[in-house]
Amino acid sequence: MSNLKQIAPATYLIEQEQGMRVPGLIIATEKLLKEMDIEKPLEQVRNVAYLPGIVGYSIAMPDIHWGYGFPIGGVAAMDVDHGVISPGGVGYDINCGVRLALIPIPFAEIKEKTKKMLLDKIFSLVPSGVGRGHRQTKSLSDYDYKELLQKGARWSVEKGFGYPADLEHTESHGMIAEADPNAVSLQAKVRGQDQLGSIGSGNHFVEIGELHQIFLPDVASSWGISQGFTYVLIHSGSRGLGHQVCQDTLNTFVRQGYDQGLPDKQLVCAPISSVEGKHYFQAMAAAANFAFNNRQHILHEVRQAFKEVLGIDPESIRLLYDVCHNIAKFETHLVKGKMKELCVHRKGATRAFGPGADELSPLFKKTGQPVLVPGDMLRASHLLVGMGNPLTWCSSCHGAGRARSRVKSLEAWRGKDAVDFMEKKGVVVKASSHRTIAEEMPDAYKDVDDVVAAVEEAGLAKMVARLRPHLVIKG
Amino acid sequence: MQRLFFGAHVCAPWPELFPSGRVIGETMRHITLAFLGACSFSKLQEQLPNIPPPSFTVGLGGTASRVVFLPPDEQRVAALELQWWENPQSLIHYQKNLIDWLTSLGYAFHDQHSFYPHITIARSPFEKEDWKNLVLPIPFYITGIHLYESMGNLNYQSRWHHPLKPPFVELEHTADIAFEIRGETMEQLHRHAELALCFIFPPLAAYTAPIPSQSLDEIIIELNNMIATADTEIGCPFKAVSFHGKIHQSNHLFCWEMIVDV
Repeated sequence: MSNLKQIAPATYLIEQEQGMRVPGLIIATEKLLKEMDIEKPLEQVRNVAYLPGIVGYSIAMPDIHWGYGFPIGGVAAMDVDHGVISPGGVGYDINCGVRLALIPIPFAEIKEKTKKMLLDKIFSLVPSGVGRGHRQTKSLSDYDYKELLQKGARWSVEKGFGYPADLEHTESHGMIAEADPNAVSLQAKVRGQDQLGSIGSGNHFVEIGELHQIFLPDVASSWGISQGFTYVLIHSGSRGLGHQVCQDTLNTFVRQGYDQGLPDKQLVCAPISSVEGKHYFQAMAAAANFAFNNRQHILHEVRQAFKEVLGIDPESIRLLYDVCHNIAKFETHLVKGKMKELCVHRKGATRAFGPGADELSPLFKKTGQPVLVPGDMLRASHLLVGMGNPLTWCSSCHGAGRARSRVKSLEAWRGKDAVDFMEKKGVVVKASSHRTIAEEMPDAYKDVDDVVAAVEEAGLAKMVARLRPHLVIKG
Repeated sequence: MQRLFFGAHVCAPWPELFPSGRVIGETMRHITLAFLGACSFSKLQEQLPNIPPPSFTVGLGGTASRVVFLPPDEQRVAALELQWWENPQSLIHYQKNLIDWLTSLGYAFHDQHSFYPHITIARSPFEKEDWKNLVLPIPFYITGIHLYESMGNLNYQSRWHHPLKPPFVELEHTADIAFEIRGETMEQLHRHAELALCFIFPPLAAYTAPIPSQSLDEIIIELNNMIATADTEIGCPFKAVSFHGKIHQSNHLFCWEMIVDV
């Protein structure tokens, strides 16, 4: 198995080879390793270990798969003084993330007809799929951009798209500091100006379902989670604005030769302290703040839908948490006995702070932060609580991870009615594109239960609740 | 005797439904190169080893950009007019060589100087107004040269063919979309990369680069400009084309593994 050496439960070491500055670390069970196509992602884990200033390990989570430069499910922390920042370590969809909101009604109490009305209402209110969508609101102005790219989700709350409590329950309070709207190109702004509040395409979604199983009653109780109640899970990112920020940076970095000497051009990176490195961070932070606003607006529309269809007070729909899973952040961690500031890249990985972490709101400071792990649209999604494991810089997995390519998934479902299949299994799916549904069918993904089991076994996060999807809007 | 003709078979992301009409099956859609009429296949078959090969080895591509009704005076056929993304002279030249060769074998052609490349999609009866609303453009490429026998009732059987390399092949990629792109020149490689993207999202065809690029980095930057502009104006399912891979050259063919982040 590619010279992997088990060093702890669900934790494997890739020995440091010539050129690698640190060893690699894979979080996975033996079962997952046997099932996954591991060679290319492992090569990417090794490649990341070449990056200047990397500290500890080049890390991969159990949902690892082949990504852009970094593997998806990759974590790498860089020394802020000597290290680099890499757009490939963040991904094109900057601050792609997930938010979980709790609906104060048992799912079983919603009539079948009402469920479909609810899905239709959300589908009409939240643009999804390719295109600017069907938003009726006006495009973002320069002034809007200046405000929202700096303030983050607070901008939306001030505009009436949410509540102050939402910010307390959002990673970094919905705002990454040092964002500079001037670092974002005009093309990026134009690309995103009609996309605020839209899901996008690919694997993004809005999912409604039932809190099916509780594993940690004490934590669940303190978070206000009750078995059988309804949840909403929203997965989206910074849309075209974030993609363009990434692309603009890659173009600049490549033209300036920052790819020289790297094992893979896609790892192109600049010193964190360089003008280019700082510029990228400022633009990335701005894109991350766009993404927080995007999910805030989507939640607002979902709240409106519940109000219109079921008469539920929007404010009673409580945001439990919003996490980023494509981001680089400055965090302080213990390195060789000393607290040190690091730039932690999480690309398809979720922060999993444990109890007592400074940034967390009082509720989560007691328990550790919620970690949201969406699975496929049939089997389950998971809610975990972070354990603050220093081995992974307090990081955990971000999803089930693909097991089958889009091409194979399309072939497997060609000529079959995927929507009907899902409905017979108890999940109603709506999407703008049949191709998307075929690409996103459950058999294209690993079993998320196995992925979170690995995370728990490795001591990164503990399972709090298992969520069962019933209504899904795909991009 | 059989009713025979030479044609270039075309591959395209065809719409699942066309307007009313006697629609030709997807696997039989072609660009007619030389119509022989009623003649003996066995006699022609003897000569096929000597048929002049095309100068191109990779299928040429472009978009079907407009519905036309042919022939202009009778309008019995709904066809698609083509816009080539690479120099169409190589196909025009090949068609001329083919006609010359067939003429040298004694086959007669009434109007050998008016080659109008088009794809016939349906025969009458049909509603012209419905066909005018067909969503275009539709990207396409030629998969090979065929000698077809017309079997009647819109059925064509290939009796011989000369295959061409596809301009792109979709590859396995766990999370994203990957293609092997082929071209005989760097310009063609760029056009074929655009074509691959358009096969997945045809509206992108309106955003191709005005001038094809000469280096891989510039091709990637131009492809990303295309995606960004389309995303701004109409939306686009692609995030970007990765700075991935190198160009491999062998036997006058450039190949590149293109990965598209979705």
